[in-house]
Order: sequence, then structure tokens, then C-alpha cells
Amino acid sequence: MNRPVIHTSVHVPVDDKQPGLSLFIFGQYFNRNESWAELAKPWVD
Amino acid sequence: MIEQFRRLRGYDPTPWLPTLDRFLYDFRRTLADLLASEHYGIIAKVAHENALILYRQALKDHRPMLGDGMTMRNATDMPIAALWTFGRAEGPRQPLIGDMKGVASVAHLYGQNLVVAESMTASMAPWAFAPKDLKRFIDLELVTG
Repeated sequence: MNRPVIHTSVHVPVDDKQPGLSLFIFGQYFNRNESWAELAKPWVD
Repeated sequence: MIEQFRRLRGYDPTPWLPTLDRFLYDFRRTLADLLASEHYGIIAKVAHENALILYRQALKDHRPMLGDGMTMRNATDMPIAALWTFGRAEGPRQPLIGDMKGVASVAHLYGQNLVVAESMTASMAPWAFAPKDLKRFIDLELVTG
């Protein structure tokens, strides 16, 4: 396996509606509103 | 098995056993062939005519009866498996391990050099995962094909 694709909604168009759009009850809530988002760069690069 | 079938279904299955060997195999083989050619094949043809690249799953979890995962994913540019999140106690769903190995086999056999996995899928668990929790799912993917 050499390409993981995170099961999440990448579409979070506005900043004043948090936590943003999700895929209903499914997937990671993996977006810029995650509490550790600011720290995630070394992990996702 | 014959006795149990008779008890549960109320008739003798013996006369019908030859149909399992021949007809059921042919019936499922036909479904598998048509899924590969008429669904995966046609969508791949239309996508490629429009310069699109396809990521496509096939059997995923508990659907091996649908057909031949190798053939279905042969018609895709990026064969993709799935690994859902799981608790440490229960471990990963075994069909998903099989799905990942299958997708790696497709890539090896048919020459796609990227092996893709829908990753870290959860349900009913908003904001429940830190990087420490997620790492082991990706680690498992990396070592499974």
C-alpha cells in the first residue's frame, strides 16, 4: 500500500460554521478545525 | 448437511446437488463477467475518453460473492482497498485485510504502480482520533501489500 486516501470531507468552505461539513456519521473529521490541525504538518507531509 | 438441509428447508436436496456444481458456478461466473465488463469496463472506457483517471473499489467488506476483484479492478487506474478504524481489542476486519492484499495483487499483476487504500474510515466517532490513534491504521496498510 503506497497511497492512503483519508476518508473525510475535504470540502469545508466557511470558517464560521464549525466543525464544518462531514460525511454524515462516517469518516475522519480531518479538517482545519481539528484541535491538532496546526501541529499536523510533519505527520501529513 | 443433507439431514440438516432437510430439517431446515423441508425437502431433500440430493437431486439438486449437481446444479451447485454446474449451474450455480456458471450463474455466478456470468454475474462476475458482466460486472467486470459492463460496469467497471464501460465506466473506465467513458472516463478515459474524457481524460479522467479512476480510483475504484470492488469487493471491500463482506462482498466476495460479487465476483472477481482482480478482474473488476484491472479496469481501473488506481485500484483501491479500504481499511476502517478499529479498536485495539477487536482488531481489523479480516475481509478488509483480504481486500488490501487483493488490491496489491492487482497492482502487481496488471502494472498499476500505486496501491490505494480508503483510510481511517470511522463511524459515529466525531473528533475521536489523534495522530497517535491513527498511525497504527496507516502502519497496517503499509505492511499489508
